[in-house]
Order: sequence, then C-alpha cells, then structure tokens
Amino acid sequence: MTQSHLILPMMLAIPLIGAALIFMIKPGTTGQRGRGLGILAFCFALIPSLMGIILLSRFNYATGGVWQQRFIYPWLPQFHVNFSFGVDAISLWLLMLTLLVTPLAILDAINKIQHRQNEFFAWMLIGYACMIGIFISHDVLLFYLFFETSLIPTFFILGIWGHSDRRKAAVKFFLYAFAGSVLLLASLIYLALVHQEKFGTFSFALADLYRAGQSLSPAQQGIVFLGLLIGFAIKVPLFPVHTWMPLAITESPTPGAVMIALVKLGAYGLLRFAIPMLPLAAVRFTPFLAVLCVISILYGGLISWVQRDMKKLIAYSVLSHLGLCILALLALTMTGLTGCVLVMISSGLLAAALLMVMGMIYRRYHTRNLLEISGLARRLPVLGFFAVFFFMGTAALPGLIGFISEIISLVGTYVSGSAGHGGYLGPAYAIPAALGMILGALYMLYWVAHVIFGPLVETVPDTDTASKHSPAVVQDLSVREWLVLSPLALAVLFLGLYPAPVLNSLQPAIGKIRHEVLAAVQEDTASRMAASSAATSRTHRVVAVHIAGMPVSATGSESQSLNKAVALRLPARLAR
Amino acid sequence: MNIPLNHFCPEIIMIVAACIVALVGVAKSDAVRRSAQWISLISLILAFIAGVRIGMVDSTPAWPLASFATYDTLLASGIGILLVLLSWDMPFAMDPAKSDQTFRGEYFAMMLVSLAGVSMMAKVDNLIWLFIALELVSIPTYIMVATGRSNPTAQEAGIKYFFLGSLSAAVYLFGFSYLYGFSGSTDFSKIASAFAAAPQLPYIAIIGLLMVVIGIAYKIAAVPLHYYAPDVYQGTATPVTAFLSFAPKAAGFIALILVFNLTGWRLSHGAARAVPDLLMVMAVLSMTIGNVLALLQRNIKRMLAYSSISHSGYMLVGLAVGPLMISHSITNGVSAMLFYLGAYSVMTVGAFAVLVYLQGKPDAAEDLDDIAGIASAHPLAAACMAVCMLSLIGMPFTVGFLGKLFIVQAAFSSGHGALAVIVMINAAIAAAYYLSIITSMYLRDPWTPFAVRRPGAIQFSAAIAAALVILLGVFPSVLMSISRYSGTEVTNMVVVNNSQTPAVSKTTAGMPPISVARSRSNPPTISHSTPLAATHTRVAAAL
Repeated sequence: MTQSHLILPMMLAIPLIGAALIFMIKPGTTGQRGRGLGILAFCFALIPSLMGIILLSRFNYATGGVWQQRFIYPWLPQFHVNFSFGVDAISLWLLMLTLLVTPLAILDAINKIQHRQNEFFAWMLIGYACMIGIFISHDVLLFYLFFETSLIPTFFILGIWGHSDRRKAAVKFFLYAFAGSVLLLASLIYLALVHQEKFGTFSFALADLYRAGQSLSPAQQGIVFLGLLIGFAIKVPLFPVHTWMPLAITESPTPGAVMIALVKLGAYGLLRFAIPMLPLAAVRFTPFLAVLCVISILYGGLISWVQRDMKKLIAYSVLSHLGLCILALLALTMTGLTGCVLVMISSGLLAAALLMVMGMIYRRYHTRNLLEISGLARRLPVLGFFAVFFFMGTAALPGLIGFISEIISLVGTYVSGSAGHGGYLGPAYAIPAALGMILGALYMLYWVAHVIFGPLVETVPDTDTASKHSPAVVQDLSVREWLVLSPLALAVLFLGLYPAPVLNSLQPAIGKIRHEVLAAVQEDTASRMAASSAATSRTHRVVAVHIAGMPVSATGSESQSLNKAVALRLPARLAR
Repeated sequence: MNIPLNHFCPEIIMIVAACIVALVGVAKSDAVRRSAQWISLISLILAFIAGVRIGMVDSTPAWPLASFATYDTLLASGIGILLVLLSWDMPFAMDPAKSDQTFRGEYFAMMLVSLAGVSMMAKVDNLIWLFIALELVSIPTYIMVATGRSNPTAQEAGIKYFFLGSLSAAVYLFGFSYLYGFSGSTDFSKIASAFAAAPQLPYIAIIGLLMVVIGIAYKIAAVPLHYYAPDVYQGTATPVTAFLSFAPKAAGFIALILVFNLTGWRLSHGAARAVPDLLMVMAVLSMTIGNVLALLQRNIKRMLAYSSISHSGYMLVGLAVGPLMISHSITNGVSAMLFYLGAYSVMTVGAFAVLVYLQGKPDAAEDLDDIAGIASAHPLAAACMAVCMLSLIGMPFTVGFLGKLFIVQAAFSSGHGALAVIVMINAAIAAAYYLSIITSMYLRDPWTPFAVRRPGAIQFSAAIAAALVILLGVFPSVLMSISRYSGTEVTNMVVVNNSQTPAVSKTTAGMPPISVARSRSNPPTISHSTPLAATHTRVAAAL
C-alpha cells in the first residue's frame, strides 16, 4: 500500500524521543554536562535532516501537487481523524527549510545556555518536532494540533531563557496566538460539520474541507474566513496584530527567536487552508487584506529605520517581508503565489541567519544597541563578512535569494488583475510595496555601513564579565560558529543563483491551489451571470473567463478595460 | 425500572467500607486510625473493579440507563481513588508536624458516603431517591468543609456552604413537588409517561423543571448560585476543595440529565423552550463571569473556584444543546457533556493534588507568589500542575482539548454557532489565568523557601492525574466510547418517548436546519431494546 511510508512519522518521532531522553538527564553543575546535552540534542536534530535528504531524493517532482510519502493511521475513528502525513512541493520546501535551520540553531546554542540545559534542549527538540508536524500534516485537525502545541515550547524557551522582559513577552506571545487559534479551531469544526451535513462524513481531511468550504454561500464563507483569518493573521503577523512579534523576537534567546522567525505558520496557513477553502470570501476580503499588507510593509520599513536595537530591527524587517509575502499570495497569480512561497523560504533563511549573527555579536559585546558598536569589520572580519552577506541578502542584492523572492512577488502583484493573469490586485498595491522594500534596503545599507565599516567603537561589557569579554580578547568566529553560518550562506547563495529546481517543482502544487480558488470563483460568477438578463450575458461570460485567467477572444483593449472593471467591481458584487 | 441488585455492588462496597472506616477512624491507637485510609482506598478500588465488571459482563441491558450508570460509578470510584490519595495522612491537620495527634479517620468515612451518593445517582428511579442521593452527596461535604481546617475561615465557609446548600435543596425539592403535582407520582416511569402523554408540557411542569435547574445550579456552582464557591473553596482545606470541585458537580449534572430524561427531552418547542434557554443563559454567564473574575485573582484556590464555575458553564452548553441535538450522531450534547465531566474531574483533581503537595506549611501555596519558581526544586509537581493547567486551557494532546472540541462541535451541530464562539472566546480568556500559574512556577525565581508534604501518595495521585490527562488526550477511545454510549442511551429515550406521543412532528419542526434531516432519517418506531443491546455490547468492548 502506498500509505505506509514511514519516513515522515519517523522524522516526527526522533526529535520527540530525543527530547524525552535529554529531559531525563540532569544538567549537573559543570558546563561539561550541558555541552554534552547540547551535542546529543544536535545529533537528534540532525537525524531528521539526513532523512530529509532521502525524502528529497524520493520525491516525485513532476507531480509536486500530489501529496506524497503518505502515512495514515486512524486516531479518532469516530471522528474520521487520522494521523495522516504527507508532503507536496510547498510543504516539502518549507520542511527542508526547517530541517536545515533548526539543527544549526541548536548547534549555535551549545555552551550559550547557562542553566537548565536539559530542559532547554528538550523544548528545542519538541519545538522542532512541532514544526515538522505542521508541514507534514495532511489532516487539518492534526495541523491545528501541531500549530497549537508549538506555542508551548516557544513559550518556555522565551520565558525561561529570554532577556530581561521575558515573562511579559512570553505571556503576550502565548495569549495572542492562543486567542487567534481558538477562533481558527471553531471555524475548522464548523467546516467539518458542514462536510458532515452536505457530504455525509465528519471529516477534517484537507480535500473534504476544501469541498465543504467551497460549498458555502459567500456570506457564510465570509464568517468562517474571518475566524481563520484572525488566527492566521496574528500568527503571520499582519499590521494591527503584530505587536507580540517584535517583543518576542527581541526578548527571546537566539534559538527561540530563530524558531519564531523561521516558520511562516500564518502565511502557510493562509496559503494552504484559508484561501483555497473559502475562495469567495478570500476574494472578497482581498482589498482589505492587501491594504493591511501594504501597511505592514511600509510600517515595518519605517519603524526599522529609527530602530536602534539589533533584534528589533530584524523583527520589523521580518514584519515587512511577511507583508509582501501575503500581498503576493493575495495577488492570486502564478507568479505571485510562487513569490509568496519563496519569500517564506528566503525570509526564514535570512532572518534566522541574521538573528544568529546578532546573537554572536551580542555574546561578544553584551549589547544590542546599534549606536554602541561600530567598525566590527576591523575587529571581526569573518563575522563582519557574514553580517554583510546576510544583510545584502535581506536588502535584495541580485544573486541572493532575497532578490529573487522579492522581485517575483512584486511582479506577481503588479501583473495581478491584468489580462491573462487573473487576480484582483495590481500596480496600485505593487508600487507602495516596492517602495517599502526600497526603504528596507536603505536602512539595511545604512546600518551595515555604520556597524561593520564605521570607525572602530567597542563597548565596555559589564564589570562582572569584563575579565572574560574585554575587547582585547574578543575573538572572531569559532569553528562551531563557522559551521552554523556557512550552510545558511551557501543556501542563500545557491537558491539565489539557481532557484529553478525549487521554482519548477512548486508550479504543480501552486497551480492546484490556484485552481481551487479560481474554479470556485468562476463557478460562482457563472451561476450569478446565468441569472442575469440576456442583454448582458455576453459581457459577463467574458468576465467569467477573465477571472479564471484563461485567454480571451475579445480584443486587447476591450479585454483590458473589462478586466479592470471586473477587478474593481467583483469584490463588491460578491459582497452582495 | 427493575435494577438487579448486583448493579448496586459498588455502592454497597462503599457504604460498608464507610461504616468500617467510621468505626476504625475514631480508635484510640493512631496506627488503627490510619488504617482508615487504606480501607477507603481498597474499597474504592474494589468498587471500581466491580463497576468495570458490571459494565463488561452485562451485554444485554438490565435497564435503559445501564451504561450511563456504569459511567457514573466508574467516574465516582475512579476519581474517588485520586481524592483519597491526595488526602493521604493529612485530614484535619494543616500542620503536618501535628498530624500524628490530629489524624481523624472519619474524614474518609464521609468521603466514601458522599462518593457512594455520586455513584448511586444514575441508578435512582424515583424523585424521592433522587433527593436522597443528592443529599447523600451533600451532607457529608458540609461536615468536611466545616471541620477540614481549624481556623475561622473554614467555619465561615462551612456555615455559608451549609445554609446556602439547604436553601438550594429546598428549591429543587419544591421543584420536585411540582413534578409530582403534574404527574401524580414520584416514580420516574410514571412521570415519564405523564410527560409523554401531554401534547404540550404544562406550565406547572415547566415551573418545576426550572426550579430544579436553579436549585441544582448550586451543586454545580453555576451562575446565579455561584457566590459561595470562591469563599468556600478558599476557606476550607485543600483536599476538601478538591472534593467539592468534583462530587457535588458530578452529582448535580447527572441529576439534571435524569430530570430532563423524564421529559423525553421534549424541550425545544413551546413554553418548554424556557428550560434550554435558561440553561444557555446560565452557561454563558457562568463561563464569562467565572473566567473574567478568575483573571482578577491572585489566590490560586480562589482562581480555581472561578475556573470551576466557568467549566460548569462549558458543561451546561453541552446540556443545553442536548435537548436539541441530533439523535444518533456523535455530536450529542449530552455525550459531549459527559466526556467533559470526566475530563474536567481528572484535570482539576490533578491540579488540587499538586496544591496539596505544595502545602507543607500552613497557608502555603495560596498565592501566585507562593509557588514562584517551584519548578526548579519540585520539577515533578510543577510538571503535573503544568499538564493540568494546559489541559484546562485546552491545549492539544490533552483531554481538555478534546472536551472543548466535543462541546463546540455539539453546539455547532445543534445550530448554536454563537454559543460555540462564546465557548471559544472564553477558552482564550481562561488561558490568561491558567498561564499565570505556569508562568509563576516556571518563569519566576523562588520567592519563599518551600516545604512539601511528605506522603508519596499525594505526589502519586498528582502524577496519575497528569498521566491520565495526557493518555486520555492521546488515546481517548475508552472515555469517548463510554460517554458516547451513555449519551446515546439518554437520546434513545427521546425517540421512544416521542413515538408514544402525537408531538413528534413538532419536535422535528422545532429543530434547527442541520438536525432536521438527521432526526427524520431516524425511525421514530425504533424499539427500546435493540439499540440498547448494541450499545451495551459496545460499552463492553470499550472496557
């Protein structure tokens, strides 16, 4: 049977076994034991990554839209809830991102955690397992379970090992995310019941919920979509509900911050669940959401311009990138959706790398204030190189992944709404977004110039650690730090130069999701048109075809103007 | 209803043990007095085994509510085991140093009597017996509250609890008298046929039902009769608080189900709408008031008191949508409520067990500051507490999550989407105060030096409860099946009773859209025995 592939459940189980094992070992008073625990945790984290390579080799890229390597084991048979795992191309690449970065974050944390090491590494591994679980879940309830459980490890890592304001940050993080996710759960249960009512079984399977959601009327879809949206928008985060994230990233220890910045749960949820399940509502909410995205982009850019805290700077740049990610998703063009996934990957990679670089600087100087240090390239040339490299990636230097992802997203947004592309956005959204991105590049460059290449200024660390960390003995990268940063740099460079394998394999999966949306919208429009009068029927048929993004028979100019009119009117019409 | 005598085996064991314990517990020798707790523990284990055996052997239903009664017995004796363990070696002694002189075994006797009352609750077939069972649960708890602690707050709590408890008993007894006045009998089967014969429920019966609901709201600590809970929970000794958060609540909910069962659950149309409407208002108020006031508390016991009020609210949601639910489906509100009752009992008793363990000194572990940073010194206790708190929040892979899931599902499928959303919003509010306990334990530095209670049994009960929370959260099938079949039994009564009346179509018409198709597809001529026989085989299989 094709449903017995064990590779995915094993990937999930190994970190959990490791976590249980490590939790039981007492850390001891000497640093030696803590170090050993860290190495053990790293090994347990590395095994799934190695299995990831096997997964890459087994995956059939030609049919990337199909869920592969399925594993199904009934959990609550009365509810048709299964342990149902699998990956399609989108989750494959996001899974690979997790598998690459998390072990490096654990490697980076060895020796840096001073107390309760066993708990720390156990929570890291549990968080790792949750992130894997999120991307390999095919059953929506299972996705929700991992989505929600992932709050617990982050809460503890943030709250126990974080900086001075850690408790507030941890509680705020948890409550924001939990408040959003309860409404998400309510919406999912409702959809499962709709499936029971209309198709006979109570089910949380992905395809069943797509079917159930699409069978609802636009007004019902709107309510359910709102529930999903609140959950995912908090998690993304989007502009008005983003306040937990800068605080959480700033106060968290480096590995925790990496976990928060790495996984684009909200964006993944919107792409995978909210939009294809409730296409009519998604289309209706598009202008509203797109405005929030543009605000996120500009707001993130502006705030980080005046930001003097290294980690906050990165947090706001992540906010800005995620705004672009969701904007490209809402564009609903093939280019835009591809860009959305690529931004998730690039922003995850770059933010994780930058946070680790910041962690390394912080360890050396015990400050996150940008005004207190400068000219690091003179003292720490290698660290300086990596910092410049990743900042350039974030500022979208051509040849690195940041550039590819941003340009594809912006183009996808720009062409959205024009002939032959479908979608409902357009230059009106793409241009401010591009401006925001330029703003981002500006502050990055300013900062790099100051901190890396400015005149050499070093802080005097706290008196109690002065003997260990005085500027005279600040060392450049250790071997382990080399090992942490170089794979990330290689990935950033490689995907920037040769993104074709990822781009090509994403096409079928993205096409499938896009088809779900456009087919539903087309059907809805067609059914509305059928009811309208005969005189207008021809125009409307053209309209329906346009929305589906198919070639049209009308002349270019006519179709252009028509399409624009539809793009503006359609949401309003659906709202009626 | 003729209930075979062997079905009363668990209650007989408990009552006999209670008598022995009452004698042994006042002996002169301390060692003899201490044997009281062993006798209690063994008797409850025996009662539990007897309950399991009755459920397993009996593949044909002895009477219509047999598996409901089995569930009740297993719940009472199972949670009873945890409650005995958490009160180990310490009744009536807030100061463990003096427990040698003050150990009094009759505490366990009262506990057993009260648990026997809970266990008997689902087996009564007469209003008088129902009243007796309710009082059997309540009267020992009055004594436990008042004598559980030797300071004035316990006396205050005892008096408050006793007077308000008597008042509530008067209210539901008055309600029972209306039911008697309506049907002319106190016998359940006669009352049920009187209800079935009436095309419309008369006002006299509805008034009776409303008074029963209000009176029993006291037992389950639901708004509007919740005022006593914070004071009493805080005032009395923690093991007694743990007992109060379980026994009266379980008894109250089971009594409500039995009373609604008399009406054949024909409560969704006409003037009878008042009953589910009242339940819904009580549910919303209990959830919201409980959670919002809990947010303001610094005292953990007080916080858990408000938490127990809010959990009553969640269960009332299940009960309120019960009368309207889809008859055959998994989303039966009563099943969801029964599942939640089991889940709630385990997690809340686990939380109290940890609190008892931490109270090695008088008045310790009362405030959030008192438990600051205990995770480093007492990792196991903190972990048990954290698991119970996460379950009370409703995090995945705990039994609390499934409980909320079923309640919300039941609310949605009966067409009460707003109620479901209110449950979810309340879950989010509740997360804040449960999280503050976890925050205090794990994220803060120790505030005061700590003394814990010595007996391993206390820690053992906390560990069992925490393990159950996770086990039932990951492998819920046993609890799920038994609560589901118990709920189904109750629902089967609906169909039978409806078939005897001309009001079938009205019941169907009163139902919300989703359920109409389901209830129509369910033939109203279904006989009493076949589905029940099937149910019983399934319960046996589940066990």
